[in-house]
Amino acid sequence: MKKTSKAIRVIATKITGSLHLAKNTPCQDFYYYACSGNKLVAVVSDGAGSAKYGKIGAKMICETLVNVLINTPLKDVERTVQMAVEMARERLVIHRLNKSKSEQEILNFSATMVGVVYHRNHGVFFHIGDGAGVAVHCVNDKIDYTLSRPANGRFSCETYFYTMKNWKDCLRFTKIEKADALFLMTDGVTNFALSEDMCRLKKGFIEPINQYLQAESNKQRAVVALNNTLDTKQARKLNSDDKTFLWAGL
Amino acid sequence: MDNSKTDDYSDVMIPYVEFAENANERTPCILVLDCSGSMRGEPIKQLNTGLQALEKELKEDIDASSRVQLLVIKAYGKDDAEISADWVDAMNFTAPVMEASGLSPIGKAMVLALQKIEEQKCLYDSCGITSKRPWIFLISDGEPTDYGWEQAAAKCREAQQNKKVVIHAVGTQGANLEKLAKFSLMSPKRLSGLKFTEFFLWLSRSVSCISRAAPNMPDILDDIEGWHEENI
Repeated sequence: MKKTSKAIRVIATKITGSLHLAKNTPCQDFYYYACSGNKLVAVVSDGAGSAKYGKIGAKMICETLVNVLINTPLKDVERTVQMAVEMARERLVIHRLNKSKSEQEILNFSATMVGVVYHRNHGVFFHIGDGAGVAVHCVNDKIDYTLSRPANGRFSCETYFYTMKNWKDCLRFTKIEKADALFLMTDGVTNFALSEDMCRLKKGFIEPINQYLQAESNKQRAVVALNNTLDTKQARKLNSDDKTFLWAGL
Repeated sequence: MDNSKTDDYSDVMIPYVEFAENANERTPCILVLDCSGSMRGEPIKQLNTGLQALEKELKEDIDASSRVQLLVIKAYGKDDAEISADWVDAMNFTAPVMEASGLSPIGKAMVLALQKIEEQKCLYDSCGITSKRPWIFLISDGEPTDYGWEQAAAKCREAQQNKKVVIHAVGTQGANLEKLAKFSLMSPKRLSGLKFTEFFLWLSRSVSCISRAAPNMPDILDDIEGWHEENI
C-alpha cells in the first residue's frame, strides 16, 4: 500500500515514550499512509494508555481508514470515514482478543485518530479525540495554516475514542484549501506544536521542522533527523508519552 | 525509524526546534487532614510516618512521580484550614510535618480543597495540560466542628455528582462516620487501628494506577484490606 508518488513526500516517525520504555512495554501509537498519484491519505492513532489492546486498536483504525479512503473521491470522504470507522469497530467486535465478542469490550482497544485526505489543492482532516492535524501554506514568506485541534472532555479520562458508543458525536471534519505541507501528530507532540489554548501554532516547532524537511531530499537522513529531534532527552523529560509525527510535503 | 538509529546520520538533528514546558498528563490529589487536638500523641506520629511513606513510594514510582500532583490541607485550631503543602508534582513532594491542636473545621478545609481543585484545573487548561479527575481524601479522627459544615458537605456531594472530583472519606477509631459520609457520595471507610502507613501506601498505589488508567474506564482501586476495618 505504501507507494509514494514523486509529487508527495512523506516523512514519519513513532517514538516509544519513556514511560513505556521503563516498563518495557511497546509503543501504543501507530501511523499509516498511502499515496496514489497526487492523492494522499494518512492517519495517526494513539492507543489509549493502559487499554489492554490499545496498540491493536490504533493499528486497526489506521489501516482500515487508509485502505478504504485511498480509493474514495474527496467529495465522499465524510461519508466514507464514518463507514470505515464502523468497519474497524465491527472488526474489533469479532477480534480474537475480544473474548465476549461484544461491542462493550471494544473499549479495551480504545484509540484516538486524526487523519487527512488531500488531493489537488483540497483536503479534509478527520479527527476523534486528542492529537492534531496541521496544514500549512506559505504566502509571501508568511505561514497560513489550518488546524484540526485536540478535543477532550473536562478531564483527559473523559477523552474521545472511535471505540466509544457515541463516537459519531465526537467525529470532526476540517476542510483544507491549498497546503504546502501537512502534519499529523499524537498527543505526545501536540504540546510542543500548539499554543497553550491549542488554537495556534507555537513558534519554533512546526516551522523549523517544515523548512528542514522541505529542503532535505535524502529521505533516510530526514527520518533520522526527525527521530533524533523528537527523541532528545529534553523532549522525553517534558513529555513521557509515545510520540508520533507525520509530515507530508505536497 | 521507531527508536532505531542509522549509523551514517546518527547525530543529525533538525535545527532551531524548541520544546515547551512539562506536558505530562496530571492526576491531582488533595489530602484533607484533620489535625485537631485529639490527634496528639501516637495518632499524629503515625500520620506523619504515613505521609513520609507516601512521599517515598510516589517518588519511586516512575509513572506516579511525574503524573500525580499533591496538595495537603490541614484542618486544625479554632477555625483554621491551612495549606501545608501546595500543588507539587509527586517527584518534588516533601511530606509536611503535621502537628495536632484545636478543633476540626473540616467543612472549611473541604471548601478550600474544592477551590484549589478549580484553580488547578484552570491552570492545566491555560497550560494545555490534560488531567484526570481529581481526588480528595478526607481523613479524620472525629467530626466536623465548624459552623456551616453541612453546606460545605453539600457542595462536596454536588461537585462529585457533577463529576468534578472524586471524594473518599476515611475515619480512624472514634470518628463519626455518619457525619463524614455527608462529604462524599461513597461510603466512608474505617481505618484499622493507626494503620496510616498502610493507608498511604494503598493511596500511592491507587493514584498511580489511576494516573495510568485507560480513559473512560472505571477507577479500579487497590485492595483496601491492609488498612480497612470491616466491622464498623
